[in-house]
Amino acid sequence: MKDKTDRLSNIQISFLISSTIIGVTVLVLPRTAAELAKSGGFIATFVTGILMALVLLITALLAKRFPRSTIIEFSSEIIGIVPAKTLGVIFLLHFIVVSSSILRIFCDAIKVLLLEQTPLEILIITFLFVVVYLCLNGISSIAKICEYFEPLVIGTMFLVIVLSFRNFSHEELLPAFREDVFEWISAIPALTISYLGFEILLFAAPYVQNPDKIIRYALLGILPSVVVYTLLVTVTIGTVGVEPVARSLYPFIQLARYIRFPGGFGERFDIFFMVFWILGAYTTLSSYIYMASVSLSRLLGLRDFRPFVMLIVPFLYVLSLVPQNIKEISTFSQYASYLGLVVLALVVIVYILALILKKGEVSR
Amino acid sequence: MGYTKNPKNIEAMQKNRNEQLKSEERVDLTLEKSVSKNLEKFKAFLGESSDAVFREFSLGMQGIPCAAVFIDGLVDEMVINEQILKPMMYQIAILENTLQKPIEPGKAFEYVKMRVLAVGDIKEAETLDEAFILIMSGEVGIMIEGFEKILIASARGWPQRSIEEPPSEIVIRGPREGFTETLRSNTALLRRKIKDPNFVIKNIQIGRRGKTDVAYAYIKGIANQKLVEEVERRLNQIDVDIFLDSSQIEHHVQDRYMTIFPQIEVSERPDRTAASLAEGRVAILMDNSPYALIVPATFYQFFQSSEDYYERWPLASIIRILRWIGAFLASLTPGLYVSIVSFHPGFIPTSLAISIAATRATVPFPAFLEALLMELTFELLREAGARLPRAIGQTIGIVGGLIIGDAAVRAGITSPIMVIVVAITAIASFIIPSYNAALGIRLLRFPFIILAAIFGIYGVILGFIFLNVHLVSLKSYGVSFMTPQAPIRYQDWKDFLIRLPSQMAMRRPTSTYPVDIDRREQDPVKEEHNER
Repeated sequence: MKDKTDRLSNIQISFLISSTIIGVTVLVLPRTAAELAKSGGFIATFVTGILMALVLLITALLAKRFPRSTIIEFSSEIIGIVPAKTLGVIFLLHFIVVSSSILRIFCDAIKVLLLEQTPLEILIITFLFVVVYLCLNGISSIAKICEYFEPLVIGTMFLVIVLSFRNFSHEELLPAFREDVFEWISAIPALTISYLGFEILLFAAPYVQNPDKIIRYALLGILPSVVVYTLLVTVTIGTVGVEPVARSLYPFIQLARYIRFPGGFGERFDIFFMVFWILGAYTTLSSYIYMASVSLSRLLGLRDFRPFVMLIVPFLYVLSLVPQNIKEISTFSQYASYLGLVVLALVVIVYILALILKKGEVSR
Repeated sequence: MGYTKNPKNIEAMQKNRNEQLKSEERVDLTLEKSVSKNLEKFKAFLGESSDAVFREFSLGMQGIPCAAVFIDGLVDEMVINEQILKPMMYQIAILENTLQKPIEPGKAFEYVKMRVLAVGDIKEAETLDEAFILIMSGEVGIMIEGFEKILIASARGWPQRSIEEPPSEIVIRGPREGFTETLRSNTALLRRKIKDPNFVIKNIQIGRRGKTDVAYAYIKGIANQKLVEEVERRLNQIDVDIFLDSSQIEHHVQDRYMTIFPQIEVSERPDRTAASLAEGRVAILMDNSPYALIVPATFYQFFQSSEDYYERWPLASIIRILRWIGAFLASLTPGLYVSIVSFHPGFIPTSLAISIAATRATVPFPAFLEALLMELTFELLREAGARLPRAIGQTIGIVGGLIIGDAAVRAGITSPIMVIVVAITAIASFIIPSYNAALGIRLLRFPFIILAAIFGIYGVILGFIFLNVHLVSLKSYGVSFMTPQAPIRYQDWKDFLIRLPSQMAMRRPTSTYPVDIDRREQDPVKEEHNER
């Protein structure tokens, strides 16, 4: 029987994008926002989201022009082989840095919040083990897992947001625009890491059944993250307060701790929410490792990415253990964010060049 | 089956086989004109077997030499006596006498076939092995002097179980008949439900020695042709000598064997099988087995009972959701209990945490060991109860109830909360209607207990993720195992977690890629309405 399931449906693209975006950084996003943009954090988050949606639009247009291959392959059509290889290396670097950064943030959070006694190395290895298992199953399995977990992840986050409204006070947020505009504009680069992940589109596009509608579904994919992030930052700052959020290690967890369920069942619901956050982190990391291994295999001109998953994983392990403390992890993830900005800029440049040079398929 | 590894036995086996090979070589498998020579050939193979009957007789007035070969016990003696032997030996002579027209010996074969044998199903066999298969399945081979072929008359009739209510899929409301071990009666049960001439039942024989009849059934115009071809391909490539149950076929035609989840649905109920056929699936039935295999299967099918469709939809939906909760409880409860008690007591209300701690104070084992021990005991009891004769089964119930329930707690070996946890997993696991799926889901709790003991709730989540990655990577005949959840097919959700009223579910599930998607289009009732 013909395997239609190995191709990705359009809705799967939405799920892939949204679950690659929403992941580990939810835990620390309100802190970054409150630290850099103070009470304007929610505006900065929203504006970053809109900007990212624009970049995603360009990414989708690019993917639609080249629906048969990944960016590593089709970029050589546009900018020549050597620049394309350089571009590929930058992409690969970006994926590896982002993966190891989120891997470290994740395992650190697990260690701090759930398993204080367990060594960090064990946590990293066990998590990598399940991630590798999914990656080896290929993009269709990743998409299916995203479809499966993403409603749970987004649903729980909405639950946290809705349940937190009880403690919400608007005084922390309003009047808006209290701070200098430049203050929250300067927060945008640091916030981009939370929105990174839609690069998966450039790697999933070759498997899409119907590339014509890809733009609509891609934008649908970023929508949940914009909404959830903005609401989350708003509610966290409104509930916990700007200063406590900026000083808090995991403001999301702090928010969840404020929640009291009616009836008094359950005391620490942060663990309950952690559980679903793990699922979100899992899909993000799997996508990133998939992208990294596919980039590497395509750079070397090979079709099968599976051996490269195993090749990349030891690097991730070592790299994620480089930062020594919370401060260094924070710096590390900021570098990852900046590298992400470079990659986004490259995507835009490649698209503009493709437009100018009239490369790729132009649909009606 | 179960050969011992005694070298002497193996030697004996090989010797047997050689002897058999020799006899096969010795005998030419083509038929000859002489009845006595043909009979000798039959006897070379079947002569040693006590159940083979060779009956020589003469045909009609002229006494043309004839012989009948059949297997005693597989045939109906009445049919042989009244419909085959009596007309050939006696009634035909009367006919010849009255008409004053004896049979021409050169046309005797046709004459017997057309005018003498009062049997519905008559075939001809040209070679010996062709005849063997038919005779072994309960037909009678009739040889007539002067012809190089054998008449095969059906006289099948053997001891069989009557149609009973299937013990593995009990419904309160709905038909009570179940499949039996006879293929023909099973196909008849299906045919009685689907009278459409497009409903096709094809037969093949599987097993080099067993020569088991296997039928696969589908509805042309609904089932995808590629699916049917795939079923044919997989059935044809089976090469095993004996099959005893359809589960052995399942092992050969399933997609993956390195998994605890069945990828083929099994049913004893004709109504359920017919419903699956109407969804564009293919059913595989085997002689000697009361279980039909239904492909392709998805995970959610194992949570459906045929009664879901016979009860009112809101109630059926609630019960179906209960089953999903049951699956989660059956696999996760002990693991979650262990992780909460030993890693995150803060997760539960303080008063409950304190009362758990108080009951556990006298228990000498860590929670993990306690859970493993109790769950293991439960599995022991369940397995003992399942294999015991019914009369002794009650004893097990008493032993289980008293020992696990009360004495173990009083002895301080386990805490009452643990007993409750075991009871919850036990009940929850039995709520899943499909026995083979439930078995796998229930055993999952052991890895979860171990993971919880090492990594707490983080380990349980990792296990959960691992399990789900495994599930989405499974496929059944090209259909993703977790459809319609992953990949999402919203059209199929009306018969998934809940069952919407039949009026709203007029489309067949898309997961099987049916040719005809709408149930109504060929519905004469609807067309009548339109004409009016």
